[in-house]
Amino acid sequence: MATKVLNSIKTKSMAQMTVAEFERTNKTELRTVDKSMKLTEYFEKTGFPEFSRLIAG
Amino acid sequence: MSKSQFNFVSDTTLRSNIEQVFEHIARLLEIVKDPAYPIEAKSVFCKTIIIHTGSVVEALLYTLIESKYSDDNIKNYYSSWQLHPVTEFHSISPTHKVVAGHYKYIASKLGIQKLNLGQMCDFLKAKGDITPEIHKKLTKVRNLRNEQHLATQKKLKKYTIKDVNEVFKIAREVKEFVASKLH
Repeated sequence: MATKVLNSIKTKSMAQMTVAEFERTNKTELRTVDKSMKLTEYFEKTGFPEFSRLIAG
Repeated sequence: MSKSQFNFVSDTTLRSNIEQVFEHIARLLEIVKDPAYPIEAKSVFCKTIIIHTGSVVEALLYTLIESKYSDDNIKNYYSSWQLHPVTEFHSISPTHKVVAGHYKYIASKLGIQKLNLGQMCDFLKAKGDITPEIHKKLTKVRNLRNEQHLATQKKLKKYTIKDVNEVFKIAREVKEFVASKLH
């Protein structure tokens, strides 16, 4: 089941991922408590709006 | 097919490489914001991000060139007629000489895969694929990326989040531009 979930996340682009999904696939932790936030929104809020637009689809 | 934000890049290995670079940059951005790191360390991390982003820009331009042009197009563009060997008859001034020689067509050995970022930019500008304005922005990215060569630098430069965001902005413009040409 865990493998199935991980594989489904891997087919997502960074723009489609939430913070939690990015953390799970990259074995890292981002500095926010709102893990359901979209990754693009996270970078927008943390001072990298152009990176957010760059990874957006 | 992976739901990539770079699906217009048909080479799947290149696409995976680009995505991997962005995941790496995302990790580096966390460090750049981390108050635990001194400003000098953050500057070097910013430089690393700029170099990686420049590589993505180069890959996007490569994709555009590969989709529109052949190795022969590149060879023809970089080949030229040259006087070789040259015999000097008379020197009029330090910047003006009367010479004679064999006028030969020197064929370039360059192909698409051997182009560096500067050559890609110049080629695309000459072919009218990019505007002088985009060429100017690309030159900025190229110059920043070339600062990885330490020996030519005259001072210790500090890189900031502002520099990083500026390069991201240019990379985003290049991405949108290349995507629009390939769709």
